[in-house]
Amino acid sequence: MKKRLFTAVASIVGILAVSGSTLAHHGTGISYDLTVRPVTARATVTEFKWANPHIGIYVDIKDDTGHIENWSIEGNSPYNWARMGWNRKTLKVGDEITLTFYRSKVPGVHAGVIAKAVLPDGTEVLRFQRDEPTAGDGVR
Amino acid sequence: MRNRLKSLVVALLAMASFSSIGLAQTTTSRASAVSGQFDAHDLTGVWQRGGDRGINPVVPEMTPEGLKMFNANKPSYGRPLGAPLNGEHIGRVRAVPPAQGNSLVGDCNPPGVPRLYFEPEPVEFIQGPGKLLQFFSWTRALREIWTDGRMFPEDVDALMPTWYGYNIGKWEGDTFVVDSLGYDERSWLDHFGYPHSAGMRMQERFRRVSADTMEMVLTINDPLIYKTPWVSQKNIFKLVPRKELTLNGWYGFLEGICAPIDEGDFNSRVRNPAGGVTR
Repeated sequence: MKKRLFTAVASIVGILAVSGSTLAHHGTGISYDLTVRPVTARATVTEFKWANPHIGIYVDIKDDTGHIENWSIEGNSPYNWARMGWNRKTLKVGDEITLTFYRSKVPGVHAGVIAKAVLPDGTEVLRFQRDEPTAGDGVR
Repeated sequence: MRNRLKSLVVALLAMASFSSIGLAQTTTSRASAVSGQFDAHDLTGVWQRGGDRGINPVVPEMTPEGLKMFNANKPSYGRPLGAPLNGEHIGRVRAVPPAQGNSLVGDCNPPGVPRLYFEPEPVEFIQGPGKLLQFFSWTRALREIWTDGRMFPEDVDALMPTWYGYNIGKWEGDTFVVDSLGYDERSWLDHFGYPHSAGMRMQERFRRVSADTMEMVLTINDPLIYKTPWVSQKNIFKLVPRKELTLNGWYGFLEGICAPIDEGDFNSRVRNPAGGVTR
């Protein structure tokens, strides 16, 4: 419990520390709909690409019928996430995570931007957007 | 052969001299930041600018040629295209998904200056004899600002246009003034897609106001595009503490290179589908 609390506090502090760059990431509120509640789903990591200037997280998610869908999720830059203590080993292929993300504005497209990833033990790793949607035109 | 060897030795000595001075001054700057004392004529150090990604929300009136270039640019920063203006300049309310935009940076082309200042990444200033080097962590771009008393090149239009300018610096009291020209008109002035012509002249005025703070105001003079000079907001740079640039016990900039092989992969798998573009 203490560890979770520490993780949560550390994450918030981290977000505040990089908020200038995080919030100004290009096209985040343009390509993705930050005005509606994000999706939270169990996901299996198929690839974690730690590359400049955008990290890509590729996962499998089961839909309501049990069918597996491939999703492409946009992350922050290695620069910003490295400063928050994460690295290319933070996720690995086969990891089962709980992923929260905002979907693309394009209907039917399996792409999104990450809000957060949580490991099975409850540890939050990777944080880019807030959990709560934003008002107005969705640009943070 | 002998001449070549001599040139090589001279070049190596010059590089060694330049880098050692740079390193020494970096250390001095850090020590000064701790004591609160500083030398107003020493800009050496790793700096990070705060603020938004533009020159100034207040924009001078554009010429017909300027408007034509402005309208051709499709940036992905600001509020979405079509949103109410709320008194803002249209340049701050015309963002399209990056997949539908046309920023050259989206394919890892050089941002150029002044745009590179507006990335939220640090830049190192290294003062040496005859020039000040700016080392931008993002894209690892180097910009030379010559302080050896030279004049601009003759017939600059005959030379290759540049992303980072032909730059001359000099001290006016405690202000370091940089005049530059010879820019490639394909770069954007900032992330909001404001244009400039090949005839743009830029002046940057840097002033170290405390041990850990530097201010800079830049002015764009480009009568082909803007009817009056465009003066930036005051840009505030803070000295970056060493611990913020230390990862796994290793101090220094991360390699912030925009590699087309990685960006192309990301664009085709994430950016483009997310923006409704299939390619």
